[in-house]
Amino acid sequence: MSDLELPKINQKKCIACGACVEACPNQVLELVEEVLSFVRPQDCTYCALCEESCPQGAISCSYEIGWA
Amino acid sequence: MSKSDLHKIQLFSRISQETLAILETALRRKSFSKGSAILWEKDPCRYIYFLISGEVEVYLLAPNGREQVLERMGAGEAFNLVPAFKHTLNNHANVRAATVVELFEMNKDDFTDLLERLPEFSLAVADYMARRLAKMVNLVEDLSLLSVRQRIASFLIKQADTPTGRWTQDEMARRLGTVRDMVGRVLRQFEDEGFIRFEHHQILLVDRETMQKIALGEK
Repeated sequence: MSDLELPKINQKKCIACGACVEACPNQVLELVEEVLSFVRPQDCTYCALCEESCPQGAISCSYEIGWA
Repeated sequence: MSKSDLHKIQLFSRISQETLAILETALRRKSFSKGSAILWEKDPCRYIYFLISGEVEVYLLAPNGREQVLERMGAGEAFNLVPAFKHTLNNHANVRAATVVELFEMNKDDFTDLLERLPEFSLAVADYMARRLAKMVNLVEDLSLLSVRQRIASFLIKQADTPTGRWTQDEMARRLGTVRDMVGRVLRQFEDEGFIRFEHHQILLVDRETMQKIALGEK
């Protein structure tokens, strides 16, 4: 990914449940000493499955909206 | 106070230099960091605000805590005008800074005093409020008559035509009177049906005609 864009994590909301770690198809996220971290940021495709899996709304992906 | 900042405000754009010089004396410049509260619903109305730069979210809170974002306003807009005309004098909605915000504030008493003294200003305020009312009527129509699928399609078209920044699914949900899961589900449906494409941090609409049909409930 040349233009590295990562989902935003709100660590105050995160309860370290690991749902996003399970959901990520590219193993980009891991809990490192109970803190959610991007361990392979270069593999993130910004698919937003982490955001969708989070029960706390602690992860957000923002989008520009335009015409193809 | 910079003249160019005054000219950024829509409401002041057609006001003469003479009147503008009087209005300027009642304006005070302020800034807010991203996420901070600018005003709270039901608090007494003390100020009218004119946005120089940045964006604010105007929202209501339901008793169960759910937010309904009424509007996201950008540079040049004005807010908290309505309660200044009411006897109860309470703010109608909550407003927070969606980005770093710079604005002018005008004391409510100065505002009503200037309206009485300056017909040119009164007309500009009436004109601005009429345009805002038309936008609110559209929002009520969308919320009451359209399905979530239609609302999302309509929102995507408006944003693609006139972008107002980046949006998370949660922000879209609050703007459209629904929940984040629902927005995610509908966006995935649109993607599966080939109507939109996700490209990293972009949502790209593939075909205007199809999206318009969805927005109208014809597809």
